[in-house]
Amino acid sequence: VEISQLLKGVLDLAVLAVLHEQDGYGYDVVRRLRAAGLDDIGDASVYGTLRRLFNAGLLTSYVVASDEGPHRKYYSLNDAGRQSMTESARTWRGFAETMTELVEKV
Amino acid sequence: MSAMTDSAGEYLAAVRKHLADLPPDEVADILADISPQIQEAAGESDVPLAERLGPPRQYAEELRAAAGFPSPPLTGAVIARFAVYSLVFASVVAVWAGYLNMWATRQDARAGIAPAFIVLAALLLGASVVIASRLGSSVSSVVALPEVQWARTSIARAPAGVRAYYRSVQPGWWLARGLLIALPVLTIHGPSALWVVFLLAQAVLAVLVGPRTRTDRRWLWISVPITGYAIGTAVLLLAIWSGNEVTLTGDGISFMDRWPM
Repeated sequence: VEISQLLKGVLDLAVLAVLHEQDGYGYDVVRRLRAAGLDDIGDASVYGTLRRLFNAGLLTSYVVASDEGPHRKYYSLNDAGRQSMTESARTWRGFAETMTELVEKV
Repeated sequence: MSAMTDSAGEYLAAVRKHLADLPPDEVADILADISPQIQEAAGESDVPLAERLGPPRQYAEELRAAAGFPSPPLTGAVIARFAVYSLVFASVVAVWAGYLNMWATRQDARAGIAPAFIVLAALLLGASVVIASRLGSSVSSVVALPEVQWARTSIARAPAGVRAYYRSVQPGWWLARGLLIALPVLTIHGPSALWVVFLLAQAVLAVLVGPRTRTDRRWLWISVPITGYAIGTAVLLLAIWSGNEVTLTGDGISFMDRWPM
């Protein structure tokens, strides 16, 4: 299975988790996902996911002035976002445990 | 350095073009998100951005898919022309179909070649509805056609009072055309069940679709042919009325024995 296929369903959770750790602007989120080891995600998919989560009311955004270059638009989790993340994380852990047990015998 | 900045600007402009149908605020937010990375990428290497990030169109499509936005609307004059001319053709044939009404549905020999035209118009209309549904709610590529522009300026030349009056009676017409389309159901002896369902369904659609055309122009592809059909029905009923003596018998209203030619 291609990792990009597996990622589709959990990209939301990955983005929420990164933002839960610390607020970030779009490129920041891309870099932190990469640094975490998710190399196969398309940049545009991350930006699109951010917008979808924002439009779904799970994120808030604020602009921070920057000395060098243009202002940066930061995203942060709101209460709905934290709740969604907690639920998704629980689902993910259950799923991951099940899968780990299954493939252990392989 | 300036050449590199230019290439970032070009890339961003191309992405923006593929997002042009989205709300302006959304597009501005997206560009604010993606700009830092694209500007940095442009400064890092002389290899064209399209080779490293993928073509702008693909980048925009990937972003749209992840964001859950609908596919971009179809653009291009050829497709817009097909949609608008199919609509005109189908609407003209719909007037004819409305006028023939029972003849065609009864497979009367007098319907002549009408069924062939009606089938052709229905197929073209079906195709243009599919296309129109992908043109975006303001059908901007249709509006941009010179002939449509010409028609719009011609209409705009009508006195403002006339246009305001037309707009104010339009909801009344949406209701009236529904009644008009349903009317033959009440006035013919022993109509077939299929035909009754067809007319009543169209009558309900006529009433429901009208208001939607004001906010989403794509509904015109349903609404205008229905208006054509209603006009055809009105002509038919007038012809029957003027050519026949209307008699009220014990069986009900009877005036369908002689057909207008």
